[in-house]
Amino acid sequence: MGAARMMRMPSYGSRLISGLAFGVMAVFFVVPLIFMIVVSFYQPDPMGFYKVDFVWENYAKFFSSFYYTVSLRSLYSSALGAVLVVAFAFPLVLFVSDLSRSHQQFWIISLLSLMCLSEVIIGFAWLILMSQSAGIPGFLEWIGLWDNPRSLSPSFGAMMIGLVFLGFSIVALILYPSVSRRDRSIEEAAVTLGTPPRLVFFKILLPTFRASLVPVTLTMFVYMLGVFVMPTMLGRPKDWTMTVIISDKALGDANLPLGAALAVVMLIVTVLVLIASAVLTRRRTP
Amino acid sequence: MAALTISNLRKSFGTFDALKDISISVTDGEFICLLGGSGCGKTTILRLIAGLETHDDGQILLGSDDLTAIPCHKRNIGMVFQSLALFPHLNVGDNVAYGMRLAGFPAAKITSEVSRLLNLVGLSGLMDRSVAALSGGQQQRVAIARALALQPQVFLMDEPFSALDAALRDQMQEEIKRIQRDLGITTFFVTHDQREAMALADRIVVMNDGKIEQAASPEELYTRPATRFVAEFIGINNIIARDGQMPIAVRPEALVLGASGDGISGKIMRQRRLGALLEREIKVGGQTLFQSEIAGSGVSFDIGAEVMVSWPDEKAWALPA
Repeated sequence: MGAARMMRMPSYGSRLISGLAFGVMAVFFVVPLIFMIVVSFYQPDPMGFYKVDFVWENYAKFFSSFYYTVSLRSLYSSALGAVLVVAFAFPLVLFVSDLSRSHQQFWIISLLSLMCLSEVIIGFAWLILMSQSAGIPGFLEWIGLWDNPRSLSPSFGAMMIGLVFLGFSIVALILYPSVSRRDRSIEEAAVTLGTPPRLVFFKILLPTFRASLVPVTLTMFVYMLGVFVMPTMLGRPKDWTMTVIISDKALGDANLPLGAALAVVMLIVTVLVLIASAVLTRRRTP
Repeated sequence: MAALTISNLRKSFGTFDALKDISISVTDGEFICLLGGSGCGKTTILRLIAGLETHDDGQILLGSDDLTAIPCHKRNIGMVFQSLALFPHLNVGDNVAYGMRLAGFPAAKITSEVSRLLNLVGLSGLMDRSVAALSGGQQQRVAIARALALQPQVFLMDEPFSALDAALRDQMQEEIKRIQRDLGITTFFVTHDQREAMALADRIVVMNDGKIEQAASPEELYTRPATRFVAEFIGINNIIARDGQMPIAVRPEALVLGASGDGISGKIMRQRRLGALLEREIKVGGQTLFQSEIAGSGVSFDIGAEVMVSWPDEKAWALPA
């Protein structure tokens, strides 16, 4: 009786919202995904985008050393970028959350302002900052720390800086609510139990927030896999991620089937990485 | 374990003086309750003893050691926080073992100590349980076991039972008293609940506005409050003003009502029966007095009845104005 009462039929409002959500998912995600999968089996046509067919050769090309290497490099740079951005943002958010209310507001507004900047503007800003004469190298020469300055971009390091900058405000703003509401007495309890204050971050804060940090890192990983502007503006061609290559093949070479096949493979790899991470994280949770 | 002496302790937060020249000596194994309202400075004393705040002036001696010269993580003070502050990423056993692991105790010693402590607080067999899966009372016990794990010289508890329901709170009060008595550990217990303080303490320190109003045994505090604030805070709400003399305090159960005779005249405004107890509000001049008695033990009156209110001299005492 009680259980039957607990099971309520969904109202018309919730049915409508569910239907709308399903419709949006179908239009903006499922339909393009199915179209991409279908196209990935088509024959490329040098005169156009594709010819309707069913071939495996687009997928076979992925396992050539070039695409294989690019995909691994994409996973590596995205994973490194995601870890770095969380590694920088988390301590900053901890610091900000302990400031006075007005100082916290200043930081939040600054971070929100950063989010308003487009990827292109951020990329150009870093391009100028890393240029030989106008940016950081020129400044280091001026203060006498670098005798023969050269441009810092394009390089893998420049690309990583761009990626980290891009994700920084997003991660900081995602973490801020939970970090600012944390129970500070947990850190104090650790100190009364003999933890030197300098180790509280590693012994208490990091493990306590692992449940928040892991999903944020994974979200950033997926986000950075899709970033297009930073690798092209700040990275060398050999640093380019699969996103750049897919765009290059699909639009530059007008080979949509190959671009679609590469995208499908990257999608599968990304999902596998996320599943593996979720399983590993769950196993380690007490 | 050791005696703890606080001398002329001062602490300010900006322009707010949280502690104003606090001095108190605590003997080895004594159970002290710091009692007072919000913002009176009781938690600040605890945090200064623990080393979580730095003092502005004064001294805290543990035996002959000046605690203020020792950083918090080296003081070996056990503390139970109001929020309990259990480590959410560790299970029950690991929470209790945390301090011992950090101090480098051998694994076998840690295992046996964790078992002993969990047994002490009545949580045997829950070593591998996640702290999130425990009830409020069980979490309370884990916090106590964790704080006692390093055999601290002083045990501090900051309103640890404030989130518990009344029945569980009574049970935990009995248990903490038993544990404290068994271990003989010098204990500071912060509370704003005078009943809790009366039930637990060897000595109660009543605080108000950053100062100690009175430090005395529960019995003495109840029978002879030193100030008007103490009298009111511990529930003696009949402070009777007298022309040209110091006001007197009289407990509700000490007031005697009669239809005639000696005393001061008043009128019964309200009366209600609470189980075996009868409580009355009597208007005397411009003041309301509270009287209580065992129902049926005295003369019956109706609401609005004129009565004479008196009290035995030995049950009234003068208070500073």
